Amino acid sequence: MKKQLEALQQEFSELVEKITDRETLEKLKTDFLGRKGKLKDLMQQMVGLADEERKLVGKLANEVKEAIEKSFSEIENRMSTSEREGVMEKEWIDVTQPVLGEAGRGSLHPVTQVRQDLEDLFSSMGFVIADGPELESDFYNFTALNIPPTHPARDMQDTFYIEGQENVVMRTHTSPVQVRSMRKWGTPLRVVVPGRCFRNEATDVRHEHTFHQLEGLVVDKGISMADMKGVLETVAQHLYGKETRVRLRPKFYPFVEPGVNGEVTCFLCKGEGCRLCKKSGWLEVFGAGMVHPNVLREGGIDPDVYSGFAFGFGLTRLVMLKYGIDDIRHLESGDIRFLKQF
Amino acid sequence: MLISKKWLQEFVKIPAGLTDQELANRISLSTVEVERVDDQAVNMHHMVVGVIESVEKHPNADRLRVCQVNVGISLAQIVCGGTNVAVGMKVAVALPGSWVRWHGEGELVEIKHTKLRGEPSEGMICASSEIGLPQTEGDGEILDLSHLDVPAGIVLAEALEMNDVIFDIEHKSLTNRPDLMGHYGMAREISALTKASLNVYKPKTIAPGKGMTLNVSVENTDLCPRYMAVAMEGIHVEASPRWLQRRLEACGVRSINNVVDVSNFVMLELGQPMHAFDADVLGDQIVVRLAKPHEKMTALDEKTYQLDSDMLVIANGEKPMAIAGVMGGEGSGVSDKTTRIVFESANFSPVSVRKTSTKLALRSESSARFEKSLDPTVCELALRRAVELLSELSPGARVASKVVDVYARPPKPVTVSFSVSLVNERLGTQIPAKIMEEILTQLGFKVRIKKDVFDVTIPSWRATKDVEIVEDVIEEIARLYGYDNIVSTLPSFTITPPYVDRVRVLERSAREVLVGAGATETYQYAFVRPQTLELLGESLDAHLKLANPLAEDRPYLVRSLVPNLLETVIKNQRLFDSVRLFQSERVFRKEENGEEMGEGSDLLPLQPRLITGVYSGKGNDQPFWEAKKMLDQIMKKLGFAYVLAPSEQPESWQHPVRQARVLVDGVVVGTIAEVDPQKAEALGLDHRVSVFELNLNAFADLPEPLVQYEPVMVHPASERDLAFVVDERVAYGAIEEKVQGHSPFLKQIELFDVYRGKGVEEGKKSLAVHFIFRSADRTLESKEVDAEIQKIRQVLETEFGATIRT
Repeated sequence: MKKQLEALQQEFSELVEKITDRETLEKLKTDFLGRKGKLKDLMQQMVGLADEERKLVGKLANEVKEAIEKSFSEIENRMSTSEREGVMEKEWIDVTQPVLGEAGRGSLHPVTQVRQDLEDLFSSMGFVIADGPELESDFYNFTALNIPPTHPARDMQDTFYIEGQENVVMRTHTSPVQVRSMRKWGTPLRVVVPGRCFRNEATDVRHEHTFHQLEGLVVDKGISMADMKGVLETVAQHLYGKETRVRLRPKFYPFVEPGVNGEVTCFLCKGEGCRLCKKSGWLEVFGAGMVHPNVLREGGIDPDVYSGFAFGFGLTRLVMLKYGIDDIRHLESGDIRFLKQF
Repeated sequence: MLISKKWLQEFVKIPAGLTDQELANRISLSTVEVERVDDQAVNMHHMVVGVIESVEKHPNADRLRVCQVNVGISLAQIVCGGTNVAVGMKVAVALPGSWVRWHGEGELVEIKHTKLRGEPSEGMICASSEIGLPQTEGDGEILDLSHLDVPAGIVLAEALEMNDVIFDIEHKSLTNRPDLMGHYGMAREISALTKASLNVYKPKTIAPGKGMTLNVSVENTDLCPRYMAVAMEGIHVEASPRWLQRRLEACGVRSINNVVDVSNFVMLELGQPMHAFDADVLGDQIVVRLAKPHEKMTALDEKTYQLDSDMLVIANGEKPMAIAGVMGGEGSGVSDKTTRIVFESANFSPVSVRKTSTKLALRSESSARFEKSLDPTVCELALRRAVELLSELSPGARVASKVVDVYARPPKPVTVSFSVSLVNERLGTQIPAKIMEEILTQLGFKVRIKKDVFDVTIPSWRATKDVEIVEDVIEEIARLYGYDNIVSTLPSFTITPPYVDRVRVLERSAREVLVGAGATETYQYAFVRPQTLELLGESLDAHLKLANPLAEDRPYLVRSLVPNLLETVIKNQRLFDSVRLFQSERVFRKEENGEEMGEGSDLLPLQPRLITGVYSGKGNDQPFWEAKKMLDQIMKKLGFAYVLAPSEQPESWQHPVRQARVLVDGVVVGTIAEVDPQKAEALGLDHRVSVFELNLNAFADLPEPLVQYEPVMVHPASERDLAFVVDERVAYGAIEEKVQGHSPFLKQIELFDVYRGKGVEEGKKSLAVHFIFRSADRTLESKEVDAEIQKIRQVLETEFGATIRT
């Protein structure tokens, strides 16, 4: 019995040496360890042995079985490693190669990106995102905003007028939507208006007749200049980081009183003074003020009961500052070499 | 506007501790923007006037001299190459530590103690170009300052009267502050900002004279609320003294002669434009009237202006002598021969002056000031100052007439009342009443307080439309209190969700889809060239047109985003093989009505928001499918099922047969097409281009698409394929529509191949279609499915003349 077991082990060792493929391996495994395999055969013969001898042979049989199993798992490991090496050889691809033939992802215009970012901020604070006509009535663009017919802003050199159309202009700012919004929604009112505006001025590196603004308006009982400063700080910090400070300076706009110019600490030098901020440490980015009582009246709101503030950001300017764009004309150029960078 | 510090200091004591930059910041933060602070002496630090005591030849260099120069405290030895140095000459000496521009060229170089060819040299004797001064003709190499009556050692900037500091005030920020357009007004503001004391402005009153009569009649007192004039004789017209010239130069005004300089000086001091007429040309008659039709006048700029009947002029008995508030006439001004003058100090309507100066395209220092609305009370101060000054400068000058003052309606003082709590409520502050009172008083407001209520009288110089209502007074308090001192808060609101604009939401989704599909978003002008429209076969008349286009080549407002996008494709085709662009914007349709105009019953032209995509690829002669891919993806994202229906009347620029309207529930929401190849070529497109254009407003009017859940089918589907040949012109869309209704089990139809060529007759195409059948409650038997397919075959054969391929 013992001899038979040893012979079996010997036979296995010889056969296993020759194995090169997984198929033969599987067959060998079945031949020796299978339910009807050689080892099982021998084990069955053990039944007739005396207790003493059976214990001895049983122990030996187990040892043989373990040795064969161990040998199998070693060989299997070896095989799968070499198989994997084959796969690696065969299936290697150049992962750095760009995807061919695909359109890839396009890009949003940088002004759209900055605008959507601000829209999301204001939405999260409960503001309506409003829209208004670009070809606007003279009334909403000027008169309702406390800009009388004799005001220089109405000069031909600043405003585009339309042939044969009385009382309409290409809007010179997004502010006409202020009075539209007041009339539409009344109080309390929180609204921002992103949009395209037009000024009749010659185009060069720093000037465009077409540009983009984002207007904001808040009206309710007890709205104060401190509230205005708070909202503008929130926006500035959203744009340029938590440390950003806001500075207000007097500035005249007919539709607000008091009116201010808003500056933020330069995001590049953190207020130290650099080329971007012309050594001042401050960047001028918005105009703002408390809504003029005449404007509230035009919006159907009683200025003795309600007060509000309005502000306007030059989206075009924000984009140019953010990306360091030195020529405003790129923005409306449609040049894909420019646009795909964003 | 340029403001001289020295001039300011005649009226206000600027606190010693305040640097020029700090003062500028203070003005910028509370009043108007100071753009620049220009220290005239900035390049003259460590420079003095020296007197040359001796000149000797340099022992080691032929061309150099060794000079001993008295620089005040000591003698300095300076080696100099200048040929015109001489004993006794006063020169500009740059001492060690100063910076000069060597021979007027290159960068600034620092002067140090040095040795030149072995001889010690403790500074430099300068040429004018080396210290940034203009070279005057006849100057030797070295600047000769011997004419200056100054001792050796005096600071050079002081000796040259170059020790002023100039503040450059941003022009626009003065729009509503005409009171600051003169030095006295600025000094008054600085006194309020710094609490420094202000001198009272009090020129001598004019004692009426005799010898000349002045008859002034003002025909239009609305356009000329005040007219003051006085005649002077015994004038000797000559150059102004140096100090006056320097004052004017510091403010960027050229000195002309003593009379003209006096009027300019008064304007720069008080902000009140003045004019001096030659009395012998003017005569004794002054009529302030509107110009007569076809009247002309040649102005001081030697140009002749055609006047019209709403322009105000200053005329004598016969003709205009000046365009009121804008410019004087050529002949009536002061010349070398003038001995008798009439000084005018008047107030004109800002609107009238602006209109006139705009219409004539003639702007002046005077019109720039009148346009902003001036205080009529200043007319008198200005006239007194002018007479006082000219009498000083031209000793023979004396007043020769009475002082004329036509002042129809002196404005009444305006008073505004408000409570302390209102101010604090609006500002979000707790400023004590006492501080408010202090601020307003400093600014010249008269304040009366009853309990919590302020009654403030606006000073005449601020009552020029600048300060009128409570809000204006609140601004005065806020800006002097300091915006920096207002502590930020955030407003509190109820949490009602805001109104959502559906067009914006749709637009944003569509944009995202297009970017995902590889398209680049571009912005285009709202204005388009007529040539582009014409080449595309569009009617120019259908377009709104700018009355005053900036660039004459783009006067039309777009009705569609297509024309300008095609121009952009042309630009990019030369750089990229494949161009995929989109834009989302409003367009302008004059024949349809849009939003209300706020007053009256007219409506604005309709301005729908479109989203338009274009595609062009080198070698792609059916770019339509790329446009359709983009369209498909948008519609899928937006959730609308759509069909394409070729239009009977395609747009002029569209390919006649590769085009369709996009319909959702029978509503046209857009179009898709290839651009007509001939027109594309004429326009300059290198490759074929396809376009889709959707009207986002049309979607917004449709009911929101709902996703309807259908139970997931547990019973397996049966699939059958059919290939059949039909005429080329049979539309697949029509087949799909027709077949759909013919089988209750047919759940899905899918076109998977279109074949033309070998085996298929010319003019026909073979379509291969996948039909999927399914029942909700059982597995369909093969026989049932065959029967369904049979029905479909029949429909295909009878309705579409199809030949089924086997």
